[in-house]
Amino acid sequence: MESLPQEIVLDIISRLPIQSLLQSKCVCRAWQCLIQDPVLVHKHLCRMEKNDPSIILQSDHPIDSELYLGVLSCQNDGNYNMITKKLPMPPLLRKFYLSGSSNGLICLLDSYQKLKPFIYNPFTGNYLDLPDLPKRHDTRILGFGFAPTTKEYKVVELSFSPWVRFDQVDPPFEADVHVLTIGSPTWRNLGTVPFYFMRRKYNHHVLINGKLHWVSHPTRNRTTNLIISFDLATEKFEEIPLPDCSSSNSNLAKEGFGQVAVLRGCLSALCYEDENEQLEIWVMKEYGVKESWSKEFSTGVFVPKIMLEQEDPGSFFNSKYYLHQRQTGVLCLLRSGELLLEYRNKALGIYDPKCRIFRDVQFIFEGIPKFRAVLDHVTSLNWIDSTSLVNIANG
Amino acid sequence: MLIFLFDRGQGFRVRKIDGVVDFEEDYVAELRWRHIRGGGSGGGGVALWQTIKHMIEDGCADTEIPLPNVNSQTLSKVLEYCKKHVEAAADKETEPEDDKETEPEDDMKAWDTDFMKTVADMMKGKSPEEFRKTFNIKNDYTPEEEAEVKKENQWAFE
Repeated sequence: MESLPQEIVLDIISRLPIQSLLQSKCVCRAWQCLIQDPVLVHKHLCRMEKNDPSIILQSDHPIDSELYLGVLSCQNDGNYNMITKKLPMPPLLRKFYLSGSSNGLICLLDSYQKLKPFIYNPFTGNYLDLPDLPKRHDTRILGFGFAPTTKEYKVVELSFSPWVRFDQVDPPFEADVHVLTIGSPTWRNLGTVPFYFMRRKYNHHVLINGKLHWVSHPTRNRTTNLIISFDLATEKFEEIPLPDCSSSNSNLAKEGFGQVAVLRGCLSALCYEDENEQLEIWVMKEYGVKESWSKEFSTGVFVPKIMLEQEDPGSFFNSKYYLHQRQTGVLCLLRSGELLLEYRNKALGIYDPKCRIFRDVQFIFEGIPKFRAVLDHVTSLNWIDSTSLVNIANG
Repeated sequence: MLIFLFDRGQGFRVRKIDGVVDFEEDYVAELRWRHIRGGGSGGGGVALWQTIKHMIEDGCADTEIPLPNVNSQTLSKVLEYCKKHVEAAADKETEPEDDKETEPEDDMKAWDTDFMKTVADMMKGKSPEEFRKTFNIKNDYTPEEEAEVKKENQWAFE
């Protein structure tokens, strides 16, 4: 080691998967320091971001709320397995929601007694309790991300009353916005925004260049869904321009996009065309430029094996329309050119655009049969810069 | 005579002085012969690199040098790497200075990257003990310390 250039060793180590990286800490004292060094952590994170992401799964019945790491592995026959490995959990965590992932850090919302969000890196064991969230409304969406320009991590809460009363004519056209800069002791109130954010069972947002994105139901004077961005640095909301529709009969023209995703770093959105049973995936190639939207994939429909055993296949909630317009998400575009999709946070599928075929992802679970939340994640030893945590220590 | 320069930031460089030396003939063939005779397996490319380095630096290329145990895959990769670097160094020296030098440099970078990728691939799934062998590193932990570090990172060993 002493006679080897540090750069060479650093470069080699930065290419190791997380498990080998952690094992290397046991090699010698110098390696332990090297592996915890921010230079190596940053280099490793940058490399991992270029690879296919790993998947974080939250277990469901029978053992609720455990976290698993899932790694895709391609078999010789072209089928994919997902090998899962249970992750250590921070202490005293009972019941939680998986709320987001950014730079190798996971945001969780503990909902056992209070609403307590925290940030966790399962690979370093670091975790950080954030100030409790006061219960403002029944419904909330959390967003978490890193703002590259200000170098801050922030959590944003969108809260509103659900639209449950049948005599209530209007849906809740407003959401309260609160934001927390990691390192600061208090949530700040940003007032209200005139959007009715779409929720799924577990809330996924899309983070691109320090901006979070969600789909909103149509607002008062609109008929189709909107895509709303929130700039973590400037804390401003904006509406993303959407493509013009050539055919007014299409579901895209009538309803709009049902989900957002990120493909090769670009904002993407999904719309299900009921007429011809196509799940269409659009990509905004140049961020913010309306004309740069293009329809990149038209995948047809796929119902994963475990969902074919529905109790009531005729109900709306088991319909192809509902599954694809509301409950299908794109986790990522793999380097192989295939799409990794998740269905209802319960099943994963792979779509191969060249052969136009779908495949189920087979799970090799360590003890648990099911999961209920899934998140794409970059495995890293990253942790929040301690200087930004001074306020918490002092406060 | 060949000199291996361990150039920080640029990786390994090979320089050729005192006229033309056929690297393959003079050193590699011998290494290969010793490798076959030694019949070793396991170990890794970087340890071999160190041996080659010391061999050259100490000017003892024609005396017997104990080789680390290397498998044929590693050895052929390293030999390929040596050869490539020697060729590139030779090219650079024979070319007039005003020639565009970016191409061999880029080529070399690609080779270094490929080499480091290969080493990283070989390390995947290996134990800390195997890492030490590969990189010729002395374990300076006390058994208690090592157990402690292992415990902290227990997840990776399960």
